[in-house]
Amino acid sequence: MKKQLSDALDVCLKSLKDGETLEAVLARFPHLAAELRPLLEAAQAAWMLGQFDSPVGLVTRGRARVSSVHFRAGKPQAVRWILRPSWRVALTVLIVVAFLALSTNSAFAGAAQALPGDTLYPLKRVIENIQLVLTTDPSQRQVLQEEFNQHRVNETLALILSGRVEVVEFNGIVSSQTQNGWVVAGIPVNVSSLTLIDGAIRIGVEASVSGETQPDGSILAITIVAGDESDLQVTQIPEPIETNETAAIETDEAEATETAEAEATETAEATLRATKTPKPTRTPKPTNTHRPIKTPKP
Amino acid sequence: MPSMPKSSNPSDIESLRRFDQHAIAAIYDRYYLEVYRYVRYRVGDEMLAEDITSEVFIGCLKAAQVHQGPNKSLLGWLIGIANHKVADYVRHLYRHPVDELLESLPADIPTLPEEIEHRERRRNLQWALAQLTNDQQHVLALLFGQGYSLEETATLMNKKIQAVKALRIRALAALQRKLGGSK
Repeated sequence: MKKQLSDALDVCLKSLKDGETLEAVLARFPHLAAELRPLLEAAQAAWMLGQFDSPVGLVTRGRARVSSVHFRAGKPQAVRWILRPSWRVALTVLIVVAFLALSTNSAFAGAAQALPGDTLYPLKRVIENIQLVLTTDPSQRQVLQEEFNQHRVNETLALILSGRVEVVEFNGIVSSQTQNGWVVAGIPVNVSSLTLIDGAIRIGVEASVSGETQPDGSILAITIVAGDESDLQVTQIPEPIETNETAAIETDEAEATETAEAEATETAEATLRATKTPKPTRTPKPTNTHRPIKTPKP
Repeated sequence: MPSMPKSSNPSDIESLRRFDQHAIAAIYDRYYLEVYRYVRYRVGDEMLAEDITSEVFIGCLKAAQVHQGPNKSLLGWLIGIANHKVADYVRHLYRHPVDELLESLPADIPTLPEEIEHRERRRNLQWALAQLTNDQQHVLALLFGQGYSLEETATLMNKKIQAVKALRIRALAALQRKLGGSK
């Protein structure tokens, strides 16, 4: 069905581009017309957006700007020995070994306690990444990754407790829906009109959140990305009744997630429904309250 | 063999590495307008698009100076930088909200009713596009703004054609819903 729609869309777009009318194009695919119409109307809008004239003198102005930088920059420097690929590899290995050797030192121990926004926090993340890279056993790496994910949650809780406003990111299971968003990993995540929501955020799905801690103990999300549907860990809450058109699009999305492509994370479809109106009727317990904030692990 | 837009020239990467004035000028002439159109489609504002496009090329020259830069496609690399710069701008706008993006459309005031209607429609369209995810905006800009084929878009986005097709459907559906919501 998905492929059929996609192929029909290809034909329709080409015909529209060649000057055929929308109705004439749709008449060729009567069984898909209901689904194709909104897509083709959007395509016409998308084409219209590309119709503009370039401003007068654009190329000249741009050339002047870029040329001035070109002349200031001068000729490229000769490749230094340290930039040669073989030396870069050796240097990287050396740095990694040095990191490991020094990992018990106080500076690194201090970094382990760092929170987002702290000076040593980037160092903490680098050390974690090195640990991940050096862990070759997939199961051990998985364990390590989950441990680091828990670190992110603990850091967020610690920031909330201390009332600091910082940008954080963490993963977790969506446990409930609230008036303003969801509860992810036990942390209330609020969305605004500027939040970018990617994928279908449903209860039981794993979601990646990036946002800012708020003084009220919540997170104001900048982005929320839903994990793969296969990550669903609890019984899925039934969706509200949809119109035929929306339901058809959702079916297509579900098919898209079955493809081997990692495109599943890019779906921004169903989220739009969620962001429009987080309806209490979608959750079995509309009176859900925020969980008490846990004390971060030392 | 990956399919690249016709304007793309494989020898440009070598020219950029040589860093001579004529080569830079040729690269600039070949790609500046194309990158500008991409950025303008995404941000909607003439002056802002010009600024971001210049930043893309300045970044390109700086990368060439320190022997970094593209290995496969110069156009793909430039469009990739442009995509990131637009995303950075949107993030900056999120953190430091000022006037709405669309408020900065050209200041000349339309007088004819058709012009006013056209201007209003463009505003709505640009607003709706800005509500989509970065990848969705990227794919619409490449397919409908730049007019690249599915194959060319797949190469530029480093994705398979089927993935681009699926993304295209999601982007169009989302755009239509946003347009419906803005009416």
